[in-house]
Amino acid sequence: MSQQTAIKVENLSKSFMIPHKISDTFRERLIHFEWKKKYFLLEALKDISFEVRQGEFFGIIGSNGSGKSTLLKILAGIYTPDRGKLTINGEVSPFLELGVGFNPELSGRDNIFLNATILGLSGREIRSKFDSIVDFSEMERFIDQKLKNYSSGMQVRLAFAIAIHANRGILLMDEVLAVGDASFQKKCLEVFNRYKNDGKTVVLVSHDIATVGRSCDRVMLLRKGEIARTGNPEEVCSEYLHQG
Amino acid sequence: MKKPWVSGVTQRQDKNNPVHIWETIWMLAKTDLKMRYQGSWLGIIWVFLKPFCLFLILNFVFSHLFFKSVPNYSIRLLLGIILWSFFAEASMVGMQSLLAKGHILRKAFLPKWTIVISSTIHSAMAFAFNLVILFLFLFLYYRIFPGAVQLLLFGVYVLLIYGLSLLFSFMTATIIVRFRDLNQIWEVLLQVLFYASPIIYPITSVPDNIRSVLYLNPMTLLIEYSRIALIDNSVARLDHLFILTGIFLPLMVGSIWFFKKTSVNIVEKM
Repeated sequence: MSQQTAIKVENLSKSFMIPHKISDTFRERLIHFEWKKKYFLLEALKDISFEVRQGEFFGIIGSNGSGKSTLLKILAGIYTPDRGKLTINGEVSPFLELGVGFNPELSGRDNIFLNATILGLSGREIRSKFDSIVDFSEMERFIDQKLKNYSSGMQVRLAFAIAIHANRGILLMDEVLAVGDASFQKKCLEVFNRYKNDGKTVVLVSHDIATVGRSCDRVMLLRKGEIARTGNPEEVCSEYLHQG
Repeated sequence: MKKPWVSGVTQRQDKNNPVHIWETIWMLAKTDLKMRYQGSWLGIIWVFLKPFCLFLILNFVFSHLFFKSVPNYSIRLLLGIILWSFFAEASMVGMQSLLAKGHILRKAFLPKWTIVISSTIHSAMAFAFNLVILFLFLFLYYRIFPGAVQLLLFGVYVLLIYGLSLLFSFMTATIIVRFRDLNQIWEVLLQVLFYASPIIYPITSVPDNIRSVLYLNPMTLLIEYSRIALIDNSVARLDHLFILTGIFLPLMVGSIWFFKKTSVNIVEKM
């Protein structure tokens, strides 16, 4: 494993303004009349700093609302951090959801092109990988059917096939990849292991302690927007399980 | 509590490939196109049909009013409708573009301006199709053949109309996320502007004092001068064009700046 940094996060903060539900009485509202709506500040991430090295499998765990998904969205470039610095060396493939942009009214073929373009593939890359994507999804017979006629399992298979062909140097994965039946889970794990051998960097956000414990090199535990612990998978996972 | 000033720095190597950006724009536009005529019997023919139906109605109602006083009234009306539809449609979909593609923006990173541009491509293509029909009428029925200078000027006018709709889109695409009534308001305003532009009536039929007010609407000038170029086959005042461009360019830069500034945190608000 090389020691070069893939992702460097320094003092990253992110907060959201959430409008208050005004539950005061009408009389009180008249007395304390305000032109501006009241907001409270939800600090999703507070002063987070960490590094992910190239070729590392980095897991992020934490309970609901701990800031995992916000962090992943910032890494993917969807959210902008309020404060702090984010440096990414390499190209990122974000898989926050399978089949982003999938359109039920379009054919499987059109959806492959659409989804792969959104995931960052060029037209030439898609054309060259098209057969391989169709092969992997086992969808040859249905590829010109509309997506709405696919079963949900078929849709996930197609989306997954595109996702694994759209990978770049750095992969950001949300727990959505952990959905599906047993054979699908197995396929996911196989792909994970292949990535490991290929020396790709993977950031994996998950609730599934077993997967994280098994595949990750290092795990970070988030608690209420702060890093509770970073270290080897067993220790961090057991701390997560015991935090209650 | 006050939101801390946004000062996060992000450095990333990807997402700067211009070829891929254009491919993305084209892919999104193509999807819009396919979606729009999905399952309709006449499909792409609606692109012609819609403005021509409007034209037939308006021509039927108004031509006897202006037929004697205005030579070539019908083709003038048609050109006006086509130009207007282009502006109205492009500004409408451009304004709603970020909202409409929210499901993608929330899950994947795309430069936001590509969404605005790609949504207006359908309008531009529809306009191009309609223009072909208009030229067929012009050449075959009216036997008018505009010169090279006129065609060039017309091209500039069209670019300005497209530019205006993009300017409007960049100004409003982020505002509508917070203020959803905007598309309803714009729909009404477009109706007002339709009658405030010389589409169904010739600008010469308007009294002088009102005419100068109408010229505050840039579409008035662009529609009127397009007719001068294509149908009268002559050259309209160039100084007006320069003034209009001189006002347009800084406003365009301003709208892009505004869009860049306000779109940074827009996904969080959707």
